[in-house]
Amino acid sequence: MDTEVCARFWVKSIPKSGNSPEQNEDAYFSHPKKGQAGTKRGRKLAFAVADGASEGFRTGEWASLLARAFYSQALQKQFSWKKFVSQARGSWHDHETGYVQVRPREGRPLRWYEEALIQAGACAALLGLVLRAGQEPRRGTWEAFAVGDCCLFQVRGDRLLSSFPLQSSEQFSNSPSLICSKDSPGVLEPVPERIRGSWQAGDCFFLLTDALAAWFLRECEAGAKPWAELKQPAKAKDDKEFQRWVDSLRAKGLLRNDDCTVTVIELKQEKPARGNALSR
Amino acid sequence: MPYTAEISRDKPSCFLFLVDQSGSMDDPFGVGDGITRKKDGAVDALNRLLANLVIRCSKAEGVRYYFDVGVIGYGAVVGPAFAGPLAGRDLVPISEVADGPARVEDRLKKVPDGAGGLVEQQIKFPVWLDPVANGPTPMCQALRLAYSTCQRWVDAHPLSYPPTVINITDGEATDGDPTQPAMELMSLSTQDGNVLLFNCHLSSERAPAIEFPDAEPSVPDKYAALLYRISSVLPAPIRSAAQAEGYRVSDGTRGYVFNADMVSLIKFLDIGTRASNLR
Repeated sequence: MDTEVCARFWVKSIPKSGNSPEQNEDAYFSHPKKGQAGTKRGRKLAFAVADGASEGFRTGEWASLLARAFYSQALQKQFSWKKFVSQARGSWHDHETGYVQVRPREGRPLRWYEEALIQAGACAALLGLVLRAGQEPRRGTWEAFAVGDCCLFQVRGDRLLSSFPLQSSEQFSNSPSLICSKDSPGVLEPVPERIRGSWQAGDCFFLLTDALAAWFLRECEAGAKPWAELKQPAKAKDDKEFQRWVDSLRAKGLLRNDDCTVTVIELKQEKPARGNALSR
Repeated sequence: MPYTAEISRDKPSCFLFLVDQSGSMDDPFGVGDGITRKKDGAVDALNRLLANLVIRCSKAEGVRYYFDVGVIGYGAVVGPAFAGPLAGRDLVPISEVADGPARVEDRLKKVPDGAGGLVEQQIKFPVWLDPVANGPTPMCQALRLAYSTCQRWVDAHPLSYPPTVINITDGEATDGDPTQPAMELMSLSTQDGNVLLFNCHLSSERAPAIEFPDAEPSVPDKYAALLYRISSVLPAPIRSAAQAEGYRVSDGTRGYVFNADMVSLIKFLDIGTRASNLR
């Protein structure tokens, strides 16, 4: 009998204070139809969060494209990082070409600085997680990939089992590695950090963009259990409770004013499914 | 904590550049190709910096108002130095700077070809400033004009990251000792800190540059020590930027370069204007 992964997930994503939701440069992809919450089952499940750099051409859109591209590539039989990046860049190139062609037709030719921005491209940090079913029900393996400072935390009960790719709040800087929409000759491609682990039913994963991840690690360093505090606003029915919680942390100076995205994934204690389960 | 204010459209910051336009700026740099004249190098570096600032503030919806920017020239005359549609204006929002270059030139830039060589790529090069070299070096007058310009600005923006003033010169002031007007300028403040004054002394001699020192430079040129003393200590975010560029820094490092060539001028401008807190 095939085992499978069964997970419930919740996503919240809000912009920096002072910015509109359209100006949020964070992105996520968990499910093609169930946007911000739902249950997924399958032999293999994928999740991604991404964070567009604050400077650059449409970096939020690039982050969004990367998260979606990771999701679909990670569910293929053979995942190749190189292929994933190259396909994402291909899609971006098409998107960019369309934009450049349409602007003069709309009577709005590109300004000199837009041309310079497009030439420089867009960059984003990415964190991708793949959960695989194991031989036995209710346990399996996971693998994560990261470029930059979006972080994954695995929690079992009230213990933090994994912190990836950063382990300390001091590791955050203003110049993390990023995946750029163009490969520049002479510039080294960032190599993704990779980690493998095992999961069991009841485990909880948090995928956080940098400001929240830095808060999370600072809290851990102070001996607190930030996952317990984060879970409720992250799992709330709508964004309002999460927004209120983020606002209160920002007001106390505990959270940098930045776009904030969290994906919470809970591995469920369910019986294995019969027959062909949905894989995504 | 000073110098930590977020730079946003509600709370923009300010960059004011003071450019020496005295007759000696017609001479070539002491270090480098021996051909580039200081007046050409200085305006090329500033035009390039203004373009980079605009690009950093550009978003899909347009150029965000993160900064007011001004350029004061000092030589035969002292006053605003923008050419073209911004001529005569002292401080201009970056969004207007974006749309107001005097002209946009096509220039060639060398970029790596991916096979160990270089290829030339055509780029748009906006020009806001033209080279001028004429007359004496009235630096004190320029610092006093900077003071009145910044005073108006800090009064209007009491919560903002304070103005950064960058002075590019190749010689001694001819209208007195600039210490007093410089100290007065640096005494202006917002709630986030005092006005920052950084000085870049362009080279006329074949000697290596002294960059971001944390003690008075021990060189025979007495003017080096004077400019060091009227340069602000780097606040933490800029100190980090200098460190990331490979400079050795300490808590006492000042925004000063002595005997700068073209490369160190460009780096100095880039580091001096690195505002990490853009929203």
